[in-house]
Amino acid sequence: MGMLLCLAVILSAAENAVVPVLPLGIKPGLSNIAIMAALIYFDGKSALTLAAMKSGFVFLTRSVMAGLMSLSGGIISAIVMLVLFKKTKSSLILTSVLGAVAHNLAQLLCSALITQSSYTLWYYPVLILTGTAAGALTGVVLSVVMPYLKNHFRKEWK
Amino acid sequence: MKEKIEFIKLKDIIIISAVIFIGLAGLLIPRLFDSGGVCSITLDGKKIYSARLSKETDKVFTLEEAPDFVFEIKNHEIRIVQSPCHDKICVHTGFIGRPGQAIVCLPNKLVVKIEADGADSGADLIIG
Repeated sequence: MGMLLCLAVILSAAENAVVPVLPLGIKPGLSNIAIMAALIYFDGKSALTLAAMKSGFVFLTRSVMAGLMSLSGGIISAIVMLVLFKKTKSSLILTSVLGAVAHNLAQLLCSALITQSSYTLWYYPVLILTGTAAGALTGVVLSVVMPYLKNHFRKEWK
Repeated sequence: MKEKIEFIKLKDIIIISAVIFIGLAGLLIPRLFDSGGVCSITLDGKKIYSARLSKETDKVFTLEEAPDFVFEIKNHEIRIVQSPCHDKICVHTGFIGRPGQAIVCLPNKLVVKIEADGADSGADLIIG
């Protein structure tokens, strides 16, 4: 699990390096890869903890706002993915896509609450679309990487 | 970890397509209603005229409070036809029709502005 936290943190940092290049609000959501890995190789509780810890990291290294956004997006997204993956046994891509979309929409809601304004909510279509794309991307990356992860996690698996 | 994880299933394509559709619809449908919004004319900060562009018929008019100005509304857009200022930048701006646009006549402190329906002073940019 510690490995996964490291992974989530590194992905998060790498992602922030790329952000200035991208149009407003479009984030690759790479840290979701780590959350999904936690879901697959551990359990839902671990995934939620991971999301919370990653948000804690964001809070410590960036700002309260960023931490709050990360927390709202991450927790909701993790819950959605948990339900999808564990309860309804959805496929990898579906959990990834819907998790990413949920992440974006949750953050959108959070931003609307913070600014006490409904103005930002109009941005939802873009976020749905970018979320789908990001979710597909992270899902694919995870599936590519999974064979290599399996070997590592076999030792940690109880 | 004995159970196999599926990569993708047929129903996923359907669900994801639906999600994409919702996203696209949300993006494109407001475009249909784009021209319109509420235009307001303020003189020295005081609002002297306000109208919902989509409901206005074409007309040319002046306002009591700004007698030297002539405005025109045409095709749900508004412009300044005549103004007493020296540079006539406001006149040359031409028609504006979409929320966010504005015509300003600085020397006369007159502003023609278009706001989105139900606009409030929300944040323009969220970082994070």
